[in-house]
Amino acid sequence: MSLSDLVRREPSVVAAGAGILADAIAAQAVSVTRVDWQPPMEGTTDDLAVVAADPLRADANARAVAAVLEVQARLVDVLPARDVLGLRTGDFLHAGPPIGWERASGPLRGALMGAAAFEGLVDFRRRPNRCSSPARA
Amino acid sequence: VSVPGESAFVEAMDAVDAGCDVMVFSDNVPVEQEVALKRAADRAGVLVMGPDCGTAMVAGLGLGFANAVRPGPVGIVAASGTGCQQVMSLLDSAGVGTSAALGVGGRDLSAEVGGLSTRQALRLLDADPATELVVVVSKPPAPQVAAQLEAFAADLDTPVQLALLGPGQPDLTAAVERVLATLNQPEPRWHTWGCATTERADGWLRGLFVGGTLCDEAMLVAAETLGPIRSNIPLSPDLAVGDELLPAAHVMLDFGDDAMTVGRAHPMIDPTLRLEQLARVAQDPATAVVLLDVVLGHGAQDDPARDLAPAIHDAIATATSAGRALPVVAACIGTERDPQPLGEQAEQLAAAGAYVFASNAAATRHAAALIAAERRS
Repeated sequence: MSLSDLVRREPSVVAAGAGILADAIAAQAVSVTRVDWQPPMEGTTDDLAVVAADPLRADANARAVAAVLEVQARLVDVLPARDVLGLRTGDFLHAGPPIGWERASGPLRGALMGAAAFEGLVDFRRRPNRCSSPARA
Repeated sequence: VSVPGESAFVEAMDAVDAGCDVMVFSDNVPVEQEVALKRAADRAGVLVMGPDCGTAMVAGLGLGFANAVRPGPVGIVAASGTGCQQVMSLLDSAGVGTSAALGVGGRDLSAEVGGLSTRQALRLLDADPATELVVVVSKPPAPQVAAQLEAFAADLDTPVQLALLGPGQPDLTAAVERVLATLNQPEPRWHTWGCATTERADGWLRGLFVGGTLCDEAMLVAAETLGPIRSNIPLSPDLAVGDELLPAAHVMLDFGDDAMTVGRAHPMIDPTLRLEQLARVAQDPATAVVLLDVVLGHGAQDDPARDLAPAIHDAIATATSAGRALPVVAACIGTERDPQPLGEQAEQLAAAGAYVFASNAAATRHAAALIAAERRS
């Protein structure tokens, strides 16, 4: 049985929650790291607890992080995305799940308009601030 | 971790996964999450203090509500916050210091949780060269957990004394006196401040508490002479008070109970509700004696007597102008090193007319002795 050194050395403290408790630690001249805690998104509290309790989580997290950290990018070729990924005219990919024009945020709409102009699908000089063809992700 | 109870498990698991000991101040954590958290901590070799852990002290640092005590040979493992504060404060006033106080949460010695944190805390203190004696402060454990705990404690190199608050068990002050005797300390004389009244009064004892364990202890002690005590945290379900907090009976109320703190801070921080009830109790001609607790230390109000002393003065004046005497007895839990020094606080309360004790059990015995014979059962 391993033991932490809780009672044997000066603790370093991380506080999540009520500021008054962190204040009481600071008042004893011990530095405290305050977590900028926010309540979870509505309806996700119970799901988060299920994930937190899952014994597979630690290993899954380690593998996910390793998968990102252990790969090395290597330049193979330079080709148009439509040729490699089989995109049709009017298809645009973005960093997120599939989304249509109606739900796209302002910055995403701006990017889509720019992309549509760049691809020659619209003439942005004549029809500013409009984009009639919804993007397919 | 003091986030709302429904989110505490996720934050605490993060800490355990990172190899940290964790104190969970939050209450309203489901017991199955407590068990999962403590099992994970057991595998990781770290300690979970809580949930609903209000008090701890490690390496001289008070966490939550904690008193500033001198370092010394006694380690405390506590399933009760204000019980722990009473023990560490009395030890300090007797000149004996505390090596560490590790809270484990009020449910740790229940059958569901099985004492997982209590055992880990005992292992930590057993391995600590500064700790010569360990006191476990708790309500009586589930019987099978008690048997396991005794066997576990017997195998440790450090002697362990159990201070289990319940019917027929010694009160916390008696438990501290046993510790002092074991350490060959002279028999202490616990401080009092103010002037004692001895005249018996016909009426009911009304206790107004901020500490849950102090309220429990007071009910146990008073019941020995006064019979059953009604409460919002009753010793048995038939003694519960409803919405009416002032029945014609001996009553002790815990203003720190969850139902009293919805939407407001703990009464050790926000005294409003208790002060209002003190005024109501003073107006009731059936009130014979008022019993209060005051808990000092880190995390508590910066000057509890500033509000409470005038309220005590007003309560006594209310009764006097109606032609009644109203003895006010207070237990003041703290030390001279606390941010609100014990002596200064106790003297302010005494100047307002209260008779103040360092020992909650002694305060309760004194208050109960003032109740006339016809109000005893």
